[in-house]
Amino acid sequence: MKWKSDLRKGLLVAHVRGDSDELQLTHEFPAKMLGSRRSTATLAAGILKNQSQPLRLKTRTVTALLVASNVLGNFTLSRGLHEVGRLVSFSPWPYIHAFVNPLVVLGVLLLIVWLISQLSLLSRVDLSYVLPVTSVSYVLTALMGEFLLHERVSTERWIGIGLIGLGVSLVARTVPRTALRYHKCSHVPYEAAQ
Amino acid sequence: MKWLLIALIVIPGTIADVLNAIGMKRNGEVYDFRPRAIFRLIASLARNPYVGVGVPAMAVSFFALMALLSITNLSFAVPATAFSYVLETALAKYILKEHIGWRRWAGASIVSCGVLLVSLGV
Repeated sequence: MKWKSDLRKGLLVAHVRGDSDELQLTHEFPAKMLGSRRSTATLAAGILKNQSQPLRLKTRTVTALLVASNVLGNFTLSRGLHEVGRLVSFSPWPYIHAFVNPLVVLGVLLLIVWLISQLSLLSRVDLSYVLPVTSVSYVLTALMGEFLLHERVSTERWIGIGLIGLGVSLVARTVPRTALRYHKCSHVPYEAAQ
Repeated sequence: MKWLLIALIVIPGTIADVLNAIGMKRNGEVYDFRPRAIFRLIASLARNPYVGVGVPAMAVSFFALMALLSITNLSFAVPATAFSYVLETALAKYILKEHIGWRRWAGASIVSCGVLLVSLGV
């Protein structure tokens, strides 16, 4: 719908100009932007807010799926490849041969889930948001080593885990989507949106 | 051999992420995860030139990582990939025109330090 993309675009411009993640605006500003009264702008902002709540939840869900499939996929695949043995070759045969191993097959399936969730996340969220946030997978890999495989996690590793957690929490608090959208939108009169 | 493999991990990996990000944003937002919708998504992505180059580049990067892991250990392989967080954040700013405030820069740098430490401390 046209008014939604207008409002989003306007807020995005205000965000870029303000260089901060908090927008200090009165409702008069979006009203001017939409060419409507203040009360309409309040309603419009309310609708946008209600819509973005489940969206944020979905983003979190896909992120969780992405991290889980990445960690488990890498784990099963590397286990499987250890069973298969050394694998440096430019001919495809050793790679094809590796597919007889069930762990390798499971790992590859999990990594396909990972690929689809990564692509769907990239379809609506910034790359500079996706990358740091999904690095939680390093933390999970290390923790899995400690608690499931009973490898010892060294002090450097704990510090590294703490740093990744800190970095992720910083990035996760930013607005996930800042680049402008390519919109295929139908033109609906603003007042009709009420 | 090691350094060739590292180049094969980092360069195609970075290209793949940037191309996939462009391609997926052009393709439109994905909300539906029912099997049918996913098949339709795959069919439409097969005709998307950005993703068409991005996914094979990702595969090259991935197989290079597998090959590297089979001849060296994790503590050599992963630090090389830690650098790509900062590199890709810079590319996101200039190519994808994402707005990157101090939180994202700080986050990306701290994460890459963390990845470095996690992989060195094995």
